[in-house]
Amino acid sequence: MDQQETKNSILARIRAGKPSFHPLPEVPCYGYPGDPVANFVNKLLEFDGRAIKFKTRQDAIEWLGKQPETDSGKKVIYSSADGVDGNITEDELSDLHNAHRIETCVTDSHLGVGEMGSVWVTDNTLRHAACALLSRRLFIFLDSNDIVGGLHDAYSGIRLADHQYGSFYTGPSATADIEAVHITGAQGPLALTVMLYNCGDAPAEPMLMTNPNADTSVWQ
Amino acid sequence: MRQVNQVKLGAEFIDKQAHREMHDRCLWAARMRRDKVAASIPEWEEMRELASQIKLHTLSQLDSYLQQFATNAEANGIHVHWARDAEEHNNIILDIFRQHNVKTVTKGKSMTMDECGMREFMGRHGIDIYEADLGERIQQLDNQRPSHIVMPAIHKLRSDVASLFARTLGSDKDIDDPHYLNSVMRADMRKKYIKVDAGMSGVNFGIAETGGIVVCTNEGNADISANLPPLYVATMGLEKLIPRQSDLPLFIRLLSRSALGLDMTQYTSHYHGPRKGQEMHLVILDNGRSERLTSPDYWEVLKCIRCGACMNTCPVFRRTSGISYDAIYMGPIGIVLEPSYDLYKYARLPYSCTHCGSCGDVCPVKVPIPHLVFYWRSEVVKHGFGQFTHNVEEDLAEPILKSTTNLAMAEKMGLWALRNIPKSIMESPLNPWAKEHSDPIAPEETFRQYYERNIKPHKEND
Amino acid sequence: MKIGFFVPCYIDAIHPQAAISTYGLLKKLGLDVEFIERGSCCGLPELDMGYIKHSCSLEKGIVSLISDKGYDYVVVPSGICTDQFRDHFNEVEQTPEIEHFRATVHDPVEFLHDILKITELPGHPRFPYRVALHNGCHSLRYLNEARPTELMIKPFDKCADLLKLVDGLEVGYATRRDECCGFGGTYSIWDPSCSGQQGRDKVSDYARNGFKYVTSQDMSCMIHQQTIARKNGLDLKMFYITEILNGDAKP
Repeated sequence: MDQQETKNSILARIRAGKPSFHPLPEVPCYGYPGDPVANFVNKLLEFDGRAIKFKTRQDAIEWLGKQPETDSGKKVIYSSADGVDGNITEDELSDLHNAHRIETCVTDSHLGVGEMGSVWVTDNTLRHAACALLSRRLFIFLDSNDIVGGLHDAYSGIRLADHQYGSFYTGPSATADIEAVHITGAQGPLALTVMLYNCGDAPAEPMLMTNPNADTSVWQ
Repeated sequence: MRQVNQVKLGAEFIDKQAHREMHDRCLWAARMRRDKVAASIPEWEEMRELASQIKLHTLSQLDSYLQQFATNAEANGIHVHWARDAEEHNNIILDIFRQHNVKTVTKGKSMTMDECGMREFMGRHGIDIYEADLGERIQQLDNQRPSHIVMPAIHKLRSDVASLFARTLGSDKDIDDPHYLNSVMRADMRKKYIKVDAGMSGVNFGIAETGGIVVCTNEGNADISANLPPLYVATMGLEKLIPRQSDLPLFIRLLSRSALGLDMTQYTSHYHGPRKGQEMHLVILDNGRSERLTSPDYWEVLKCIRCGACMNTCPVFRRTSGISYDAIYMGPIGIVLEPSYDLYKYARLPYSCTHCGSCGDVCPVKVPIPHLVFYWRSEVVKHGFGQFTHNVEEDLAEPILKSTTNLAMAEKMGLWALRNIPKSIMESPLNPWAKEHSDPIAPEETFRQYYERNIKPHKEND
Repeated sequence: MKIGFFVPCYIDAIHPQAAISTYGLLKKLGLDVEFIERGSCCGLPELDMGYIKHSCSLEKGIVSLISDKGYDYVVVPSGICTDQFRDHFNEVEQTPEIEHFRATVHDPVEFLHDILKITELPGHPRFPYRVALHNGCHSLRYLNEARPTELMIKPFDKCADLLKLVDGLEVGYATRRDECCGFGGTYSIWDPSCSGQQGRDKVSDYARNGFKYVTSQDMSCMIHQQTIARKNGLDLKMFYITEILNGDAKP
């Protein structure tokens, strides 16, 4: 049957028998109590994500450069973050299937959510979402001033229609499909590290914060 | 055509002690986590009420919201299709796949696609569809339906999965560590991703105001399927719309907390068009939904956001597992949805319920499930599909229960039977009560008799 | 005030002590209580099975029993029947008398707690033991006699409040406090396997937690649980709540 006919017949049936009008309520912009940055770190760690605080973004870049995950000689790296270079070319990525080779992905986020420990990423900041999703280790820069309290706050600060792809990433990928055993690292990244900068309380020596009970499986 | 006998299938699962105990424990734990996180949100009950109101409103204006959504989605570059039923749905997608020469597809969970038997249909047309979600893939390899809408293989022990993967993926059958099994699946999926032609997913919410869809997952498989291949096809039940972007956080805050007691799914993704170099298609599926909307007794079932909280709290579901429902949808929401697809086949499902009411309390959008259970039981009886005939009711039960004399007589006979019929008969397999219960100890007399003897004479003297 | 006392069919036949204790307690409180001698079934089993038409005709039978009697309240020692009258008594004509009946029918817990608001029990009964309180699902979720643990509202428990008036009594709960015990009315006949499993899980939990006594405002749950406990050799004694409140419960 013709698409227009199907559409019309579905809409006609609805119009003919839909329930009587119910008014649309107003949704309060619920906040979330507590310090957004402290909440963000706690929640992120609960999800087996990792967090680390820096005074400046440059400090974060320097720290990142020393990590084994960003050893350009040994790992395939994709970066959409300013000041950090990857080693996989746009040419190679013209066939996006090649993204499966990526070990480490580095990117920026411009919004964090204290209530959830989530970071907002988009097609703009990621350039190729597939690169983040197929990577094994994901590193994300986030200005601590960009962390809002609750999820309602977060949505009120973005325009969804501006982005082909926009997503809240909350920790690394996970599953609990077998006997509800929590497994960190399912299809997507095995580890997620958020590098927070503009932190007044950043320690002199960078200190990586992890969940002491994190799932650190040997099968990665 | 046989009726699904959930009681019999359920009893088989109950007898598998290790499976039953694991299943019950895991889902109760999910329910406890849900309670804990809900208790931490002071506005929790207010949010449930608002979510219910938003859904009621949207459904009452569904035609205009669908128009708005479709217009905006098309303006975003999404090809929007409409499918009246499963057959139309599958053919639309087959056409798209043929146009793009699709051979290999990976997909995220989608109950709507399951409703349409999409995977089997594509298989018959030479297109390989790989479930990319761990639980769904387990079930696909085992040729079984998902047993839970959020944790599709939760009825299986790890040893079951180990044997299955050894048989189908060549892994070590003696290692049943879930982490190992997950790594086997991950490695296997990588091989598919490297050559995938198209990705598919379901839709949690469609936003009318912005013309985009929202997909919430934990594993990242739906996001990979949506962002990697040059073709992305999603299916959305037409009741999944919400009006505005500002309504969305309310539902997101309820969804994963209700489902698994987690604040958020790991990937809460919004799609407002194809990525560069990609074509994106969305099929809006009816398959009986518009008809359900027009039923004044039943339309509230369309509020359901498929979180699975009702399954986790249901004492029957936890002990019998979703497999025993032999349907696409299971547990409390299943027993009030499936009869609308096939009343005869699923006529017994509404009776797989003790009417405890817990499902209605945990539902984030307040679907009145207990009320709908009663509705379907009366529909089953009206159509004559019940297990027990009307005649039993009309000729036997009702006259006894209606009249004092008959009732008193029946009670006396019952007590006489309790006291006098030999144990061997009372405890025979023909007496369903006896399988699980000892007989109640027969009282000396009924209350009526006690009253006649002890109280009435004094009253008359007053 | 004049009280009509309606005794459900299953209480009358299987556990009349629930009615005896309730009647006794109401009399001790000095109330004018009239036993509705002519009885019939409230219609719940029919509704339960989907026979709306038949449930309706049973309802009609009730109407004559409670009309023109001048009852200020009708007390029914059964949560499930009280809910049936209050929420499902829809098939008969809704006269002012029926509306009054539906608005003033209570089970003993509601009546004692909400209407009489008693702060002490006549005879000062004593039951110095740990008692597991089972809030039956109908009384819990349809009569709202306690907060179900899944609902995020301020906690309350009317049965527990009443039991605390009994000397020495310590109220406790099953580990899964509000999980259905599996009786479900006709459910226990149609699905004995699951119903039985739920009941076994419930009573073995009491035993594991060291309870010897259990009480509920739903005698149907108690009969189900007691007979399962007995079949499984568990030393558990179960009472209808007014048996304890009226000092009739023998340890």
